[in-house]
Amino acid sequence: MILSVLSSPALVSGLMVVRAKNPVHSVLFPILVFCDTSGLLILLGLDFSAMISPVVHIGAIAVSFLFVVMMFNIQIAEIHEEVLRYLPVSGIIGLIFWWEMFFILDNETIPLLPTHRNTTSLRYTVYAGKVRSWTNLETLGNLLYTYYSVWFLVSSLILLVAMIGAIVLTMHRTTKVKRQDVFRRNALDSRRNIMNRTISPFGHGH
Amino acid sequence: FLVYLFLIGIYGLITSRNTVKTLICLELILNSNNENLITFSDLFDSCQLRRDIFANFVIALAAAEAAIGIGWIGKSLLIKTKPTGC
Repeated sequence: MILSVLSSPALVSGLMVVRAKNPVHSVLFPILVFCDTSGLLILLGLDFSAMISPVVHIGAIAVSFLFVVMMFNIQIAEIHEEVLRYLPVSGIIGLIFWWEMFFILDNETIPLLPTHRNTTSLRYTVYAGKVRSWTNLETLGNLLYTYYSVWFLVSSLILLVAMIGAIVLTMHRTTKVKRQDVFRRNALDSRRNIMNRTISPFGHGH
Repeated sequence: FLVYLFLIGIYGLITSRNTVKTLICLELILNSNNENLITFSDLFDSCQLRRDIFANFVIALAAAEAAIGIGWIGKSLLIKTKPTGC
């Protein structure tokens, strides 16, 4: 029941992302979706992912989308009277997709809450106080840094490449500005390159 | 439930006339996929928490892809409004 309280706003706002008239609305609704998914993750007992995914999704991705939407004049290029014309054909295609999803799920209803997560706790039922149970973060770290360390480094390389790509994309002409070469400038000797002219006090020049 | 979110994301991706909306729907799709991975990591017979870790990498990929997509779209929109260039 708590799940449905959290999940139905996520579905509704997911729909509103697609159908929002204002582009600003279509950026604000995914923020709601991300909040709801983090709530769902908390309900599943995964504390680490439930805290990480708002930080990443809302804090970085949604903020950058907001920047784009705010700074540029995005035309609201939708003619609203013609949308319902597509409804028969697209409705049939949508129903086919939806129907196929049930084949993939194989008659297994999406579970509401798993009862016991065996992977994260080393807890025996008798000695509950003595054995220390691992937190979610500890189990993830245990695997990530030992067995999958190469993947971890590769993902950091991916992020580095993304950073370089974003900088290269936006720096197309500002590198042609004449910049001072600092070392050359320091190597100029003041005695050789600057001529001191003394103007005689008589006013004739010299 | 997350399957429906994924379907909505795909529907929005196909039928969005605004370029920014397509990127947003991409993020929605990726996020819902990630959720699916994390949700079903306990049910299926996966040893050693593989899906959780993979979900972390998917988060990193989604963030990187969002950054590059934003830069690209922003640059194209900027050229449309300011053709003089600064």
